[in-house]
Amino acid sequence: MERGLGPLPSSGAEDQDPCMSARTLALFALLAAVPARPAVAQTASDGEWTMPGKDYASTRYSRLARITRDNGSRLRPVWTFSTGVLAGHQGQPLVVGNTMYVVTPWPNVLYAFDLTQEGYPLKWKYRPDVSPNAIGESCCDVINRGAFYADGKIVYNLLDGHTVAVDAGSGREMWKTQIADLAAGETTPMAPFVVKNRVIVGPSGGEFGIYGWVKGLDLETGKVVWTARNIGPDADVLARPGTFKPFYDQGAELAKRSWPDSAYRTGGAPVWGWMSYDPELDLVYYGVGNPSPYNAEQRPGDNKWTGSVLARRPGDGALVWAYQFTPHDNWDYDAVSSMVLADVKIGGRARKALVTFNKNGFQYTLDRATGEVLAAAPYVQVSWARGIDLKTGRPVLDSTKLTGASKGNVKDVCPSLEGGVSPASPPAYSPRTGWFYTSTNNMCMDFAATPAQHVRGTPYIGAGTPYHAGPGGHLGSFMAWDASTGKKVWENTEHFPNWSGALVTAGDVAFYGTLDGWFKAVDARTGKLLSKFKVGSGVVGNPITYLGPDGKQYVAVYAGIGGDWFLLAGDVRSDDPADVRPPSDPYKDIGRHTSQGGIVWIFGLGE
Amino acid sequence: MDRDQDRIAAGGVLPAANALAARRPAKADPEVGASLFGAMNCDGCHGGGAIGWVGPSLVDGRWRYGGSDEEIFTSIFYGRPKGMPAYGGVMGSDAVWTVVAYLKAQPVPPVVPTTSWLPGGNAAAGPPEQSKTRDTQP
Repeated sequence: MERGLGPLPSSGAEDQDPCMSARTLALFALLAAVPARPAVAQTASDGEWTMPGKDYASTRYSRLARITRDNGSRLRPVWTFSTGVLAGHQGQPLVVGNTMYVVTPWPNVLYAFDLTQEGYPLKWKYRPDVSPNAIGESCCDVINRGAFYADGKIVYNLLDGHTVAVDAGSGREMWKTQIADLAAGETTPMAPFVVKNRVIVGPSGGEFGIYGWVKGLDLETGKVVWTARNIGPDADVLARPGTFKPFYDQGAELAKRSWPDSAYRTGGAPVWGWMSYDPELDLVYYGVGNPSPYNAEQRPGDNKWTGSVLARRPGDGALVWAYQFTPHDNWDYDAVSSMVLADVKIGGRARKALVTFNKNGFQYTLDRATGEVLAAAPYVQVSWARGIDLKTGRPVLDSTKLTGASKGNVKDVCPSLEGGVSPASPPAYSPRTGWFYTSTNNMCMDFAATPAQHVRGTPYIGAGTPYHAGPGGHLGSFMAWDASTGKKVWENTEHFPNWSGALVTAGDVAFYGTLDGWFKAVDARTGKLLSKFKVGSGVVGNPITYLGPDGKQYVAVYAGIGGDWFLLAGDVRSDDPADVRPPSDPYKDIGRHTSQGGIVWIFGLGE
Repeated sequence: MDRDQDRIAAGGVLPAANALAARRPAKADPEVGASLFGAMNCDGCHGGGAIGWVGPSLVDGRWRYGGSDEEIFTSIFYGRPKGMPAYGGVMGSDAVWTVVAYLKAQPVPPVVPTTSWLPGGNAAAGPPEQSKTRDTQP
């Protein structure tokens, strides 16, 4: 169903009126300066940005409306800061009260900037003790996806398998807990997710044959309260009779029986993306990554719950429902993309939905109470499946695209294993337009699987997968998408794969960055470019917006190419004389436009 | 503990002490070394053909920790502090020497210090330096 473009109800917006009075603004700034209690922070005051996805629904939508589609052409940089770190700058800053918090890639420095002072000087910085061994146990650069503010604490993960809580006021370390085993190939770049008094965390390591899990820590003490495997026996998955009710699957031991023997013990199932929470249903949603190894012939069966979304109770970790997007994954289609909670009209009826743009190229709309698939449509070129059968929830496969060591080199699998969009690049949702905003990759791959041997603490992959451009020749885009129709509304093609997250505001402006280092503001209704600025390095981070102590709206984003692009871009590195690489296909030219470098940028309206 | 001396033990098996003092095999077949390079998942970090991936290239003639046979052996057997696992325990001395033989058998390409987008490409930047092996410590 098409959605109109007219003004939408205010839904209690605090700052939808660009002409908000100075007095209201002053009051707001004053309120924002008061240290927030958990309940306040977690309802996300509009002037702040206290958690990775802006709110529990992961909308990355801000009700700030001082920057608009009418004045967006006046966007100017107002401040920059070199983080001193060169690796890929994924994730996003936080703004709590009048302080901005920035976590760097390894070695995971936490900076606290005083936004009330000219030049935003540091209040403090926190230099954690973090093992350099994490560098070699990371599949794809030493990135970090950000922090979460709760109860006066900045909570984030160190890459070497620790979660820390730092006092948001003083920078003092309050607790530090080992959550993961680096020697088993577990690293921890994801951003923790805090619900009530639980800090929920998971590991990366789908390329190292880990035995994937999530843990719930006590927010006060950091002690591990519960551990839930994503694969394996019901008792370890926390799938209990009477509580666990998947929509499509029946029977016990689903996550054990869908593996040969004990292959689940090295079966991957990492958690490296984003989480969402529905307070009414008391359910936390998160995606699970790929099965290990990539050579699917070593693990016959569905391999549940890899490539799945899981819904758990935050208090005790109990699994309530699960849905597997890509059974028996042949293509490294992790399902860890952001799960955006929104009301979506399907068949004319408003549904409490969970919307996700899966690496496998389909946009799924699920009933978030039950896990039923309401709709699934390809948002990029897809060749591995013809569609999703809504009766069974399973993909209708193209058998010629199945991979495995016995099948040799399987050509033209779309999308590539970088995903139709990278899960590292979360979408935004505007309740004003009713549309989702997302980066995409227009890439396909050849997939040659080989037998892999598990050696603890080393890669466990078994595939070579060169990429090429999809139809049209461009490698990426940024687009607006209507989940109620399963159709693209508008699309801006980009020369290189697009790897930044999205931000959309009540001013009807959408923001994103490009891999060749442009930061762009566009009209959220048409995609028309409002302004762009070259930010010094490719953007793989996620823009945020906040209200400064001066009552003005600002937009912040990291520059700093990396993540998978540390591996793929070939020649964007200049700091290591022992590692010189030629340009790599199919993005030979990227080294002409960018090199590594971590910079925090803040933009505001010029005169 | 000095963390920088701490290494990940591949396969969970610690390497034996004084491995360089032990007997070195009289012959090590580079082709066997190439298959070990795949079987032990070296290519998962250093790329197929050791051309570099998340870990550095091992065929560009440039070495962080030294390019002599003994130095490369030490890097593989005992690991290195930026997460290169210690393979000595799980592979044993002879197999590690075989991987060294594979790496040292790879041709070192000419060093072309310039990447150019000018018309004519790298040729416009002048002749390449002579092929050589150098040690670098970033």
